[in-house]
Amino acid sequence: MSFRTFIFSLSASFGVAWLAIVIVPYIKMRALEPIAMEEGDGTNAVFIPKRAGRIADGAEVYAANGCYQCHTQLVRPTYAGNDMFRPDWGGLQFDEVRGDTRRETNAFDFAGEDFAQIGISRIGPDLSNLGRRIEAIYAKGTEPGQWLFAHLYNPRWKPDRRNSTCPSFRFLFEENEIKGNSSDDALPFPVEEGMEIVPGPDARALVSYLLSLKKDQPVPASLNFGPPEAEAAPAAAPAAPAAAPAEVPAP
Amino acid sequence: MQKLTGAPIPYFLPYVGATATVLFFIPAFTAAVNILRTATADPDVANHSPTLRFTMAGVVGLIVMAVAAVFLNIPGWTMQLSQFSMSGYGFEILALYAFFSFVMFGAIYFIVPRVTRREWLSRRLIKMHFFFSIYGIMIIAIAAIFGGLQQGIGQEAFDQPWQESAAERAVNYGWAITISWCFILFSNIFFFMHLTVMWLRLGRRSMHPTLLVSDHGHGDSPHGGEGHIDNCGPGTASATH
Repeated sequence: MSFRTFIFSLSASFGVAWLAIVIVPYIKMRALEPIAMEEGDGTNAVFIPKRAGRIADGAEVYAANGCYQCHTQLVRPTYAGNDMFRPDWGGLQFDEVRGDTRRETNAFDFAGEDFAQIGISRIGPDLSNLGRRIEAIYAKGTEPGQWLFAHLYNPRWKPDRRNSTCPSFRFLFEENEIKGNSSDDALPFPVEEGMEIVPGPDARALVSYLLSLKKDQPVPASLNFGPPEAEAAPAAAPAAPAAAPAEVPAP
Repeated sequence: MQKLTGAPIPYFLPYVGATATVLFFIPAFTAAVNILRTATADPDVANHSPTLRFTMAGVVGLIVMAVAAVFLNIPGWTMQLSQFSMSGYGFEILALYAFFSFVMFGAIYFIVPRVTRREWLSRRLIKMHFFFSIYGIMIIAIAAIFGGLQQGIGQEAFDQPWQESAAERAVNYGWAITISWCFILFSNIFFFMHLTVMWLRLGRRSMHPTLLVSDHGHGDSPHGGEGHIDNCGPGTASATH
């Protein structure tokens, strides 16, 4: 083997891997075109979720505090796991307005984020639809933000969460002197007379990000790999009118 | 890349990852068996030399890691159990500590005496380092890999609440992992002290390496005869001989 062959083979070995694992996926994932919905009652909407402002700041707080170490944001397709069947992960099984909203995670769910927080392990539950879950289940009838502030301050606060392994994020909160009326966001934890615990800017950004995690909006047919029973009813309905005109000229 | 199966990434990536895993298994297994069979040709030498002992433990770690890479990624069985569970962590620690760190420890035990012209002070410190490390890493690997599979079984039990099925299954294995990290911390504190003393050139001034042999029944020093004592250090006339 000549030196030239050696250098060429070495570059090819690493270069092909680099191209396939880094460059091609990067280009493909950065070139997501909006998809037309093409279904339902004549809507011409396009599917392209957006994120902005404090939500984007919250994603940075999420990354900086290592939330991705224990929480994923990925509802796997059924060939890779059973996440879709959990009643509150891929959406809500019993949404009051929309019925069963569960669906898989798709690439558009991470649009607008600098980094897709897919996560590396699940010491805690998946957070793809945490916003939905808090509003509909954990903090039903109360203020979702307040529930989440209290949970971040002390994850073992509620008796049914006494075994939670989530770390406390008290350093994101401030202990302030009460001047005049107490804050609307003051947390219900014991503190010195005349003081109150209020969320700091990072805690507010993080909570607005976490409450924005609602990855269950309707998706175009080309992205919808949901269980067939959810599709059975709408699929049967258009079939009937299509069949009916064909029968009209026959008699 | 199989760890991201089902994620919104290009579809070919998990397949590329699976191919790479199998391609890695073959040379790792072959090279490791080759080294081990060579080293065990003279078991006494391999047993008495700190360098060879650490290196062989690292090579065994390479075999375990190569087997785990394939075992933890079988589609339809362990794949969905190991995805997002502690098994992935166990696999990474196998690669980082059971293989790489052990081989590097072996290299340090070989290189440092030659650089400092001093021999390792204590075979007991070396033995402590070895045994605490090896038991620590074994417990971590077993607890993380099999605890991760248990956690995965809980994760797949979609009709059970997450907290009871997956989170509480994992937490006891997490304790086992933390305790065995204490073993490794303990072993490395002693290794660090030993290494610091060596870099301060306070090691034994002898030409005989520190071997892990027992002095029972020998009568003289466990290091053998003292031989030529180097009192001079580099740059002097006798150091060149």
